Amino acid sequence: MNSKKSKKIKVLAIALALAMTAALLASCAAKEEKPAGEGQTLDKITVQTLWVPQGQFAGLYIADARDYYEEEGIDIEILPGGTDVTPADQVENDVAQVGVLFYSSLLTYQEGGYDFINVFQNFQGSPQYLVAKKDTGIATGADLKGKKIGTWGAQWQVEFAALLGKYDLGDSDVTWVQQDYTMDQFINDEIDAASAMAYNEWLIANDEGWDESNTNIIDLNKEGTAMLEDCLFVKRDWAEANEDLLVRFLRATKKGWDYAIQNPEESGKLIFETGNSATEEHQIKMTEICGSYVQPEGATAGDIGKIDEAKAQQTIDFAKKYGLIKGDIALENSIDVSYWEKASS
Amino acid sequence: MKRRSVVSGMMVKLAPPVAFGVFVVGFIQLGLAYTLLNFKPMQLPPPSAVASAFIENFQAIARDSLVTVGPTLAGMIVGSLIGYLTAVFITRFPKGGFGLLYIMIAINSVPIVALAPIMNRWFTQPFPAKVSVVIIISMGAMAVNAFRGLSDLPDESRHLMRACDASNMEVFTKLRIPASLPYVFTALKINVSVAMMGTIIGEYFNDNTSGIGYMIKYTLRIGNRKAEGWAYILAAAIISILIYAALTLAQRRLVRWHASQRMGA
Amino acid sequence: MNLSQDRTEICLKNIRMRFQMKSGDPINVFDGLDLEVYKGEFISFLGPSGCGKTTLLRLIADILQPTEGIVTVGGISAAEARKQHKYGIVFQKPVLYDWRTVAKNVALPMEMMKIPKKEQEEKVTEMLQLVNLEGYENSYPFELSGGMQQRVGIARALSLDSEILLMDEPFSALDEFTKMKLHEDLLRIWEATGKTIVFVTHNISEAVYLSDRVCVFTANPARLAGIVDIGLKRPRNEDMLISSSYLAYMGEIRHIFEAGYEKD
Repeated sequence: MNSKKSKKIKVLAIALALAMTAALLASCAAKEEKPAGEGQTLDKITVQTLWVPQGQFAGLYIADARDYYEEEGIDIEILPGGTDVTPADQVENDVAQVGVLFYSSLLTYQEGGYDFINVFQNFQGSPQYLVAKKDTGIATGADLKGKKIGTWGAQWQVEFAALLGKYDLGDSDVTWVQQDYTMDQFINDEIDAASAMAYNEWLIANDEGWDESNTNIIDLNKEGTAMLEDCLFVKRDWAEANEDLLVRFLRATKKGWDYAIQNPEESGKLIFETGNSATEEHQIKMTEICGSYVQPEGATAGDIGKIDEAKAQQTIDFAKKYGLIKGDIALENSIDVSYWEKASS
Repeated sequence: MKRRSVVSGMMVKLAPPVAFGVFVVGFIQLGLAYTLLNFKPMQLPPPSAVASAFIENFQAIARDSLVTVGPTLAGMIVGSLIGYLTAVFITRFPKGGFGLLYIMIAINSVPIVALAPIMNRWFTQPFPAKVSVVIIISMGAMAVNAFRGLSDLPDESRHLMRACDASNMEVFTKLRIPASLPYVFTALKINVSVAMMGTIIGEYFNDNTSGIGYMIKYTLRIGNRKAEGWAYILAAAIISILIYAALTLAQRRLVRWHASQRMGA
Repeated sequence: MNLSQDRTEICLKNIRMRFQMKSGDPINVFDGLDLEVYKGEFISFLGPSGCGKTTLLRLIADILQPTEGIVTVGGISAAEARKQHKYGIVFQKPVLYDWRTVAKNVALPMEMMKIPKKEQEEKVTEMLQLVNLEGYENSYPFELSGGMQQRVGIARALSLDSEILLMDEPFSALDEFTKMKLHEDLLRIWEATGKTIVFVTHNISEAVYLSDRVCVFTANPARLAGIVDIGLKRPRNEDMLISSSYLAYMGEIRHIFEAGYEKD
């Protein structure tokens, strides 16, 4: 009885060992399958964006979908963001190597002790509008005195603070109201002027019947108080240790943006399929509008991602003047154009 | 002699939490959290940085605290009152009323995170939006606890009332309500932290740009103000503890006859 | 006949109780029980748990109502008697309201009767003297020993000067020494006030020692198995506990119990 039992156990053990070996072999085989092609292994890069998959990050998603990263020998993973995902901490904690962040926001992290550098400026101007219904009489920054302004938080608000400053207005002259990510407060007249990204909330307002015919747009670029928003950032020491990889990554991303700008419809559809966070039509429009900030009129495809030092310096100046940062940050400490230059040559 | 034993009793009671607090503060301040657990100082600021942020921004923190405390207390009081009256109703009319208790518990279990944005839609002003969240989440604990206190009485207590030919009203005023007081304090103490949480989460969503909740959310998203965010978290904890302490004092005065007030002290 | 009616304080006639249990058949208690309690007597209901002695006391107190039969107290219905505060009641536990001082606990029934404050205070002082608790007016129940708490309960039951005192195993939770002291006090109070006392107990010695008559109940089914007249002279004292007549009464009661069980 006893020996019979131990025999049984032995058989079981052998079977189990065989099964495990088989599983191990299978998983190895599966792993080897992935790099494929020339038998060369891909370098892994994880990117942390600011928000759900949408046209705002078209360059990344298109470069992935069209295998530009793979052609550069990169195995890419794009992590979507959310209200409680901070790209800075994701990169700091090595969950991601590259992150998307407002350049203005990056400055605060630099001051907070994070050694990040901006290596690729997505948006060349600020796509953030301040919009007000025409009947409020708000047409320029000067009309904002005593008004309720919707804000999403510090890095957005500082651009409006700069706008107010231009007209000698300060924090105490207006009422800031926390705005959600809809345009309901604007539509229901709970606020006089609303924050609206040209590529997103503005489109939502349009859908609800609020457009140029009945709404005034204060464009920060025209007011001269724009600050640089979306950029790609990395840890300084990571960049130094992985220069070639970073250059290849930037080259592919640049190519992705170029394609997206030339084919917004196809790109928008692709992004819609990735994340379906908004309608397909919305994604196409968003891609188109974002493209116009990535490659503004007069710029060439070769300029995509270029960091305009004058604009970067203005961002630093405004950030300091309006209290986003307390001390001085040297321009050359917070940007490094060399990687982009190598990727563009 | 007695005085001394009270003091030493207090010390024995306070020793473990104080030791734990000192350990946590020391663990972070001395850098062990960074070397052993791999936290980064800019993500988990050392206590000294939080303390100096607290002092530096004390005026602003005090202002934001008032914004938060108001709706917390108002909501807690109104919500607890509604909960208590519901419990009285259920005790008086158990047949028809009992379902109400389940409704209370059901409402109580709606997550705050879902409630806050809804209330923010219903009320355009931040104050009522926050108060209503707190009311809703503090009703349930009070209703359930007060109902126990009002109804969970020894048979003989009620027999005595019957022997005295007490009216329903007298049974409430002379027996049920005083008997429920210890349970009321239990519920209030539960509600302190829940109410603070309700207000703070409310402030995450509502129209205001002040209050502890808003400032935690606001500052933690800025790279150079994380210590300030932690200072606000500290403020929230201090407020909760102060309200809790005030309740404990009131409890000591009002229900010193209850067994809970004699354990160990 | 007339004479006996004058002497009757509490009358139970043809009592039947049916308790519907959650599962199974209803339980019948007292198959047509008849009992008269005389004015001024000390009568005990003695028996094991489940014999219905407490139930019977609750019928008298109108805390429970019989399924069948009539209960009169002082010539009126039990319900009416309760409303007129014809009795004071003492429970197994002291049943003091923890949030009230000793004085306030004693005054509770008077409060309900809307007796003037001044009068209440005088009565409280008097009652506390009677139960040997002078000076404890402002203490809270938790500050007193179990025996002292039960004294407060007795003072409360006596506070309205009702003619009847119903006591439901009042001393069963107390230690032997405290119990002996309270026996003395209770007999003293009884002799001083001339009240009718109905005393529920499961302690044979206690019943014999205190009572004029002992009603012996047996369980399964719950019924009144016999009534024993206790002829020990008054006032009682502890020396009687070793007297031969005392032991004889104990024996007689035991015999009733044994007979009750042999019948099963």
